[in-house]
Amino acid sequence: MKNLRLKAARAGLDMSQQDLADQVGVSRQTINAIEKGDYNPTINLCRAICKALGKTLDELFWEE
Amino acid sequence: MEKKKNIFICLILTLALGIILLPFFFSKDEKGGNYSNSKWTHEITVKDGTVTPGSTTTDFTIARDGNYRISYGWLPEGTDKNKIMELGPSDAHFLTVIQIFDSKGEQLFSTCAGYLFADTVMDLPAGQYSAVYTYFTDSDSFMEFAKENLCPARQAGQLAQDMGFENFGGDAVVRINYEMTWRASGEDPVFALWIFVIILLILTIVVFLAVSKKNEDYDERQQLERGRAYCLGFMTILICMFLAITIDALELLPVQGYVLYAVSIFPGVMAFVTYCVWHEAYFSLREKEKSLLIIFGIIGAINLVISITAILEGRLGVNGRPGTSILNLACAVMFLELFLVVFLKKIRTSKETDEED
Repeated sequence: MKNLRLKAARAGLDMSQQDLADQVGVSRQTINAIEKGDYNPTINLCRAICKALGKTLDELFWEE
Repeated sequence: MEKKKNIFICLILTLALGIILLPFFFSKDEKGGNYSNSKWTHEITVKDGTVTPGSTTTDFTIARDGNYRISYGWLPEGTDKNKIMELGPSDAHFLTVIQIFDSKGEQLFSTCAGYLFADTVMDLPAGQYSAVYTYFTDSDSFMEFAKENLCPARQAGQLAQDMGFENFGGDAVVRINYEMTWRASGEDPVFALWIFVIILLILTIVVFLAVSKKNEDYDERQQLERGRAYCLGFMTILICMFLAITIDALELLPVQGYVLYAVSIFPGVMAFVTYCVWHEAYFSLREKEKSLLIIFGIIGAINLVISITAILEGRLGVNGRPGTSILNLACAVMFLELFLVVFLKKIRTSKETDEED
């Protein structure tokens, strides 16, 4: 399932996938895979992404 | 720091390539050096059942004292190069004896008992030498030769007929291409040292790359994909090895066994790299695709040129079966396939980036 909230949060901060990838220390393709729902990140990576985007885990990764 | 590392890797690769190519430079020494190879053609005329000349001589020079391995090949025009090792006396046309004489006319070597293949080690001082090739001068001399060396006397006539010694039946001109190679046996330790240095270099490069490419260079998704790729590569090699063992044991293909086993490794490497590249797990976070694309392309092209040259010169086989030269072909196929995969992936990635922008 696509993670549109992550994509929206990133776009809201006017960041590219590469910018976010550089901040959290992964490849651009990994961020792309997370957004497309092709890869489930570990909790450590989720936390790093949340910190970079100023969001909580619930806001980005919790499914209602 | 990154730049220094890349320069260091380039230096190591250049050095390795240089050492690999070193023997090829040595092999191009002038005649009489440590290694030399000569080719020439003799024209034999058959008229009224008589061969002219009865023998031919080729002089050669040994520049330094030492043990030399001397080997010959002869190839009547129109003969398949891949079958040179299977030549019989009739294929070799009129050749009966090869002898080597020193400058004083003393015979140092002679083939005997119809065994027309010469490959021997001799202790030769520096100086001038002659290689003399003696031919059957007429059909009777061939019959005598066959009786003495090839079969019982009562079968000699039938053998001559079976061999189809047709050139004795009418006038003809036969051109025979000869090749003689002599190499100092003392070079063997150098070659052993060369192989040792190559292995050492490969190990050094592997260790260097393993140390420099720590796991931290790959993110968690890449490590996961690389694990799957290793598994895929390993299973591919296992299957290929099983096929190679089956083919070798049942002799299903006319290929040398060791070639089959060596070639089995290539599909495994291809599976690993292809999977990694396609799942964006081959390049670490700091690596760029462009440099690897160039390296794959160059290595693939070099191996392709080497294998095409080998095919054109008829060096692809041993005893009519594909030999180690086919590894260059396999290497070329592998690197060109990887080049194509990296190239296609690069195009796809750039499209994705454009869409994201």
